[in-house]
Amino acid sequence: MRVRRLPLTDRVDRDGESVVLVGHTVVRLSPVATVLLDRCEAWTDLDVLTDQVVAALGPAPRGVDPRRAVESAAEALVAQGLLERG
Amino acid sequence: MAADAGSAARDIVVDAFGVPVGVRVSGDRAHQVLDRLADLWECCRTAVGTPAEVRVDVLSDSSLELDDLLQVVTQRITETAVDARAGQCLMLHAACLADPTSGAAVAFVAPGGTGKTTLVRTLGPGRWYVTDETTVVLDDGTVLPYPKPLSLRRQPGSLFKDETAPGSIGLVPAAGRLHLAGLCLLARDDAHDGPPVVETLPTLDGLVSLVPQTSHLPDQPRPLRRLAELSESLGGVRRIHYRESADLEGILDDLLAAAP
Repeated sequence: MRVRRLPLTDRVDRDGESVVLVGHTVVRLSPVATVLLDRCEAWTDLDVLTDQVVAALGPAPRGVDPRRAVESAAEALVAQGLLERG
Repeated sequence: MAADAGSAARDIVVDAFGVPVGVRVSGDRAHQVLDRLADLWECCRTAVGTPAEVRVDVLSDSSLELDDLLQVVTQRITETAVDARAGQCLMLHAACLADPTSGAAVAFVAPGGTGKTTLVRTLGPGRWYVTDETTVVLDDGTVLPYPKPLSLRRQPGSLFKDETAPGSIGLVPAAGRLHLAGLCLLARDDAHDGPPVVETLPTLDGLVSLVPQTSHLPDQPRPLRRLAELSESLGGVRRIHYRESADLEGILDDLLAAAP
């Protein structure tokens, strides 16, 4: 799976998290989702994004599969109209 | 407010946060409606001859209850003025009261039917009544007044409301420049026990709560960043948990007194 960022109206970042405005909808993004959004201006594979999330935020907590966590976050961003899937 | 008494359809022009809104009334009760509008919009007068920037058309059919019609007219005036200022300023679904000495103003953001008008009615006397509905803020923090009529329930719990002139319940419009000194979210809860609790929200949480209570926000440049800068310049957005609006007096006074 690969994803790419879609245009948004505006964005505010504080302490590694963010809030974005997509049209009239406001969305609060977790640190993982914020890193994802930053790193996929062009089409990017989820495996690459997983490495980048780990590099930016550190290893996943014990018992959490980072690849699945990133995939789940990416799915949520696709559903919110912030990413498109290729 | 200017009235044109010489035509079949009759007009008045009211000032809604700087937008001259023409209200053209036709139908068999136009005189009666215009007389009531002149009283109700006493705090939003425009100079005689002021041209309307936007217009609301009202058909005063005698099959309609007058008070219901007047309530709809108020809503139409608000919506029309809000649309006219799309993209030009921050417009919050908020009541606002101000200190007559300093011009400091505090906005209380809340969805419809959750305490704004009650707060204004309770805490407004002795202060400047800025609005009970739409607080308009310019980039420099200036607040534009909109002291519209208030829709008050005929009895507690009643579905019916009457349009009420601000002056008839002791409210006085602003007589000087206003600047925003506080941004609060009302969280009224019948089950709340004890004094009000004030929670200062982190910037991102404040944005998530404020954005749904704005009008035409995406039409502005950098809308989220501007809202974040404004809320941080005011010490953050405060969410107030409370039951009775009278209990908010001390909080309001503190915010007004702390204003620069």
